[in-house]
Amino acid sequence: MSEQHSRDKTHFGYKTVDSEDKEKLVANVFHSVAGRYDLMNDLMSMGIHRLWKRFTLELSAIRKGQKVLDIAGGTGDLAMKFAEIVGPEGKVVLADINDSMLKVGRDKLTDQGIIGNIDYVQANAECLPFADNTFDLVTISFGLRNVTDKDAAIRSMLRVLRPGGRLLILEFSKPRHDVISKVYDAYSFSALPMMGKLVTDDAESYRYLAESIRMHPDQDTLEGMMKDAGFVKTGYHNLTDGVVALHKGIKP
Amino acid sequence: MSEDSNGEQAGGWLSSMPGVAARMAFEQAAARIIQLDTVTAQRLQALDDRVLQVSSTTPVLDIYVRMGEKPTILAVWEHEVDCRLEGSAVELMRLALSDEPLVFLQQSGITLTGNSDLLNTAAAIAREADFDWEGQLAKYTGGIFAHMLGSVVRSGHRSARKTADIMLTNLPEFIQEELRVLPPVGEVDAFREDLDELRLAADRLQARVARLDKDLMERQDQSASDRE
Repeated sequence: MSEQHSRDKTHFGYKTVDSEDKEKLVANVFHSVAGRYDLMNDLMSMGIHRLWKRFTLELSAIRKGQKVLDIAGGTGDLAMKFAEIVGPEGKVVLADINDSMLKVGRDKLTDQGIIGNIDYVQANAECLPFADNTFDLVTISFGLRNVTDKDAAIRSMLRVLRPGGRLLILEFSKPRHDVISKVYDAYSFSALPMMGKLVTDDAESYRYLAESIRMHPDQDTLEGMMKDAGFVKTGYHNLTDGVVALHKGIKP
Repeated sequence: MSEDSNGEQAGGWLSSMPGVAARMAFEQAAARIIQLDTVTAQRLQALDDRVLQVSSTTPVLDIYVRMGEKPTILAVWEHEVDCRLEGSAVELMRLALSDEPLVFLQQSGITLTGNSDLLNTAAAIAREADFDWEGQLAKYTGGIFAHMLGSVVRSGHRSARKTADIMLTNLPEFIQEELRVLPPVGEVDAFREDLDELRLAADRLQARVARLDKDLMERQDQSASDRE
């Protein structure tokens, strides 16, 4: 069930690009949108992304004193809540490959008084710079589709999790009903670039967003990739009819 | 809606997106109110990470309240809970409104398992909370108007509470006697007694038939041996 892409080529939205170039192209997208990322998230999802993240928080089963790694944590929505839950005895690491996003996240969380139990690390999800068996929970929300080698990233997440620890992947997925799918396509290919143009003066980045969602593995394929990497007790929850799916896996 | 890969909803309606939205709205409102009383916030902080499960039997619904300065209402909880309450929604509501929850528990059909101290402490915090909303209001309206409004609201609150207590006390009688949705206790007892009598009569009849059957068999055997 591994993701099918050649060794040298991969997709960037609907375009096929060299694997080495995708990282730079994705970085440019997020450098461009970082400043207004939260505002755009609220506009594009009509605020529903907060509900998806809250559901993720609920399924994390995280407790006081535990260690959490939030990959592609961006502006820190989830990391902030995790930091409150694990308390001063615990630790949260907010990791993102993009330094612009990381700076926005760090400033936002510091302004909200989230300090002491949180670290910020610029890291590539494919080769996480942490020791084996470090974290009780690893999350990646709306980040996996931007990773060049998703299989390598999932294996890397498995490595840094403690046995019994869990991985949660919150990501856009495939709507279950055709009607929803058609409405969603119309919305994401026409309204999203227009909103991007109006708010961030960057329609291209939001066209990439819509295209990258379509190119991302569907629910069952992603679950298969998690199983192949070595996760057990895998499963997923469809949110908003499968527009978004929350995948869960446990490290044996 | 949230639905797992087997097509089942985790946590029922509470885990659906409207359910999550409703819980988040409630939590945000509660957090704002708690901010108005620093003592209550500190006392809730002392209960941090302790979980109270409220299980309603009618309708079937499980809610997990994770204590802390900002209490959260969860639909799913995978760890052990500190305290569990199980009973009908009406009884649980009456417990929530009760000034003495442990006394009310003795008189009701609610089952408590786990650490009753958590329930008692949470109830004491709720009872003794003194949210200074008049002070907040006074910032905008001035002290006199805020105090007048406070007096009206407090009086209204007392009346509403009294009305709620009366309604909840009369609710079982209304359901049983007026709506006739459930049978009254006396009717159920009489039916049970009639049923017991009927069962005893049936047992006696069965025993008599068995005895007559046995007698008949013995007589048939006797007459057969006489003919020989």
